[in-house]
Amino acid sequence: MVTRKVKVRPWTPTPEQESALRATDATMQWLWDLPDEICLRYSGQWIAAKDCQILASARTMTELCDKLDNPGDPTIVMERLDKGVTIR
Amino acid sequence: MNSFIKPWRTVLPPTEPINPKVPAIDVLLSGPNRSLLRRTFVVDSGADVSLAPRRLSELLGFDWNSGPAMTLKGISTRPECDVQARLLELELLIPDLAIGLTVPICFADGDSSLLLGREGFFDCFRIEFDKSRLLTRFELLEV
Repeated sequence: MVTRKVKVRPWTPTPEQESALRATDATMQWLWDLPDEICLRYSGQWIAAKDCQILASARTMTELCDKLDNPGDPTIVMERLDKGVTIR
Repeated sequence: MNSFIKPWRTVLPPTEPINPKVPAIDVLLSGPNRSLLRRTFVVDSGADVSLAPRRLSELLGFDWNSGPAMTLKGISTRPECDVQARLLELELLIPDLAIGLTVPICFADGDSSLLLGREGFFDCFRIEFDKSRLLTRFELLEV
């Protein structure tokens, strides 16, 4: 098999999806170019962020979710920051 | 418009001896429980399949055990380093192109990075990495 048939479809955001996007736009941009001091502080950890602030951090995503009241909150963004050179 | 360009994303502190930015894309994930989570995935042409932690599948409402079992192997050849995983079909919504696509993702039992690998995702796009400018260009293919 050279290529996998992948279903691609046009997507028009529902009001709920549009709201989730708007609510996370600024935080996503902030995380994209994370300040050096935050990268250093949370290196090797998962972080949960909302409204451009770190809510919690932990070594694994499971531990991070355990620290949050509602880990499924669509306005929370979770990221993993690397530590050391990674061969994925 | 069937293409877009993303700047690389910072994932490493400036103290590391390599460039701290990697190719990445932000997507919305839609799961069986109608949850909607926004996450950034590293775009990894060296990964055979896409990867995420098991906990993410559970947040999205998947039954992790319902997917076919897979054993993931990394850089180490030692059997104790193998990771058990389940392959599940996940819907990705890509705001930059206003499209949705369903791709296979390996959810690893334990922790892992969020990676978009070749199987599935790379079948949808022509992807150009430009390290000199720290940019990735995604061009949607006819699929």
